Amino acid sequence: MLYLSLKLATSILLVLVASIWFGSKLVINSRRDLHPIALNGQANVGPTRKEKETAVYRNFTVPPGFPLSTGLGLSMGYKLRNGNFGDIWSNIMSLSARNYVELSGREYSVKKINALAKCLSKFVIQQSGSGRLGIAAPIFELPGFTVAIAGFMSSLSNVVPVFLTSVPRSKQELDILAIDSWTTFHQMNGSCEWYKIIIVCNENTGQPPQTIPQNVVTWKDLVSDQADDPVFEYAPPKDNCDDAKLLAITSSPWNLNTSFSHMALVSSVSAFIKSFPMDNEISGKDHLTVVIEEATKYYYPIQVWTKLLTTLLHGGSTSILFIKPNETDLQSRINEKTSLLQIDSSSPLLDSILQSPTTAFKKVKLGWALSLLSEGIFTSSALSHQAFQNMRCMFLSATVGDTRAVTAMEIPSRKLQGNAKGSRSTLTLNKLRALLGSRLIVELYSPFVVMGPIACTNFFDYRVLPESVDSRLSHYGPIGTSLEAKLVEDEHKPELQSSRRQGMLCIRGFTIGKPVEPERLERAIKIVEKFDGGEGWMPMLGVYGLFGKDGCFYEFK
Amino acid sequence: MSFVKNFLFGGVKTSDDPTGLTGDVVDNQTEKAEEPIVEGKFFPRTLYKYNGHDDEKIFIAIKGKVFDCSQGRQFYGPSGPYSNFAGHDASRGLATNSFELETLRHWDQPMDDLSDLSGQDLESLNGWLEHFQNKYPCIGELVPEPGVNV
Repeated sequence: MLYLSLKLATSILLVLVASIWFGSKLVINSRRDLHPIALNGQANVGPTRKEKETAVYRNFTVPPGFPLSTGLGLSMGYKLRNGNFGDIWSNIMSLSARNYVELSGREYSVKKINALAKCLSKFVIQQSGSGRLGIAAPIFELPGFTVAIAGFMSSLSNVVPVFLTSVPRSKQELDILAIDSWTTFHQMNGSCEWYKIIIVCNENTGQPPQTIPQNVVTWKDLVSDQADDPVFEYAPPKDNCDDAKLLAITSSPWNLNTSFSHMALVSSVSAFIKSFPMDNEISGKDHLTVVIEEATKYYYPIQVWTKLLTTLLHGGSTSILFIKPNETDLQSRINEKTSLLQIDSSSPLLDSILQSPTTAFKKVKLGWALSLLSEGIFTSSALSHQAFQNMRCMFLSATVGDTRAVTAMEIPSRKLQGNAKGSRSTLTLNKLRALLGSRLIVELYSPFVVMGPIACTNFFDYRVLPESVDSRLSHYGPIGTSLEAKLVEDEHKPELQSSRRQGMLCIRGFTIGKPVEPERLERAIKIVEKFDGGEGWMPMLGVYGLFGKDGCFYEFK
Repeated sequence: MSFVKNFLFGGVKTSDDPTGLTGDVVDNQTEKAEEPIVEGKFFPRTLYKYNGHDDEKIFIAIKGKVFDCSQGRQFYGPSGPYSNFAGHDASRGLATNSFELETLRHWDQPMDDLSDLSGQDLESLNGWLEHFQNKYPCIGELVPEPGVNV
């Protein structure tokens, strides 16, 4: 009897184990978002490489021999053209029935913004001709936002908007300057005479001077009584010259300016659209929220537009959310319709989500979710807060190790601090995926040099990398579709070998800006010549990394 | 079973190291074969193996320049109309518009200096060179091997 019972128990146990094993294999394989084979082949690698260089790496959607994402592919007769801001904005207006932009907690219809920007653009073109419009007002408020859109509209008439990190202390080639308030005006100490016109964006902050100079106007005076306008007409010239015009110049905290053409914008928009996988495309239902904090406030004026314009272009709505340094609560500030979120990778808001107190049951659910995610199965079962229930993708922006060195085109003299950027481990990223119930993409930016990300992780990549890799490298996924990249050996890091796919990053493509200062441009040309000049490669000085066997770019911490 | 264990006891599956930094992943023969080829100098002997048979890649030399024509496998690969050119210096064949084996030199013969080609043939060859430069990546140059071709 005992023998029979033992036999039965063993049989039951074996059947149970076999069922669990078979079931889990079957379930995991059928429920995975992306097969491990696809995760291990995320780039197209060139068949050859030069000595002391790696092969050229491209996104897996852009095979060698095929053109990189170079724009919107609009038809012009029998030809295709790349497009420009005018095309994007006119298409945004054709879909502007219900969408809006939320600024400082208030919603403004796109039609309203169009009316205000058109009015401002007319004024800017009248006053500055083909000069420059300096924007030192915050873009997360309506006046600054509309001045920026007006600047882009005017760029088609050869006006160049210049995004400034602060009000200039020395005389610059600016005809019009938009500042945030009267308080700033008083701090200018008479430098207002340098400009033809000064636009004070917020007339309610600070006291106006007793006598307002003739060249000073308020934003409200310029745009008063503007009704909604659903139309922005744009017809490209026959020679298609608008596509090659300057879109904007952006200033960095080190007073180094970089210019971007309309080509960079449309290529960046195109790459962003293509980054969404099939059945998860960006649509009119999406609501993008861009979080601006201390870490991102200098570069958001140029980097915010790619995602914002793309969302509006599909009929969606957007919010720009400015978070002060003492605020640590994202869920109470975020628009509940948010489906796409752009936030800095090192944001304290994410820390507060990760550290928020939780119940034992929620901890169990989080454990299950992490286990499933590491197997490649997405689940939102451990969602931490209802405010995130509509979120489907979060973009964590990280910057290259030494942004200044890349921008200034100077080899960094100091040794980089380990983990200075606070990049998060792949396990932590999965925790964020689980707690926010959303996919997560990590993006690598060189914010004053390249418009949009250089590389970004796959929408479906939830791998947990070994601790030894996470502690030494930041994982950034394959190169974007508008760029191609290679790594070169550099004398400052002789231990990195190109034969092991290691070295300094060099990129080539359509979203790269151009240095404005002649001496920096000259220095850039010399450095580019040193690193295989003549083929258009742009070295990212001080950015050392490796290409994994999966085709992804990993930067050394 | 690891999934069941992780699911019940709260663990996660760690992926393989894709970077090769930890040395956990040993390079096998397949991976080595997929490694990009270093651009540089080719001898007729080293070029020969890239004929689509012995190696999947197809390299063709024209006027001393070596092109990676692997993308044009339908033309230059096995059974393709120009398969004779694969792994060889195809200059004479392209210049004279002949696909015969006689236009090609074996790897152990002196390299063809093309000195007897007519002006028309050279013009045709330059046209082909331009075509290849626009279509295929140039990955190095073909030089005579001391003691073999010289």
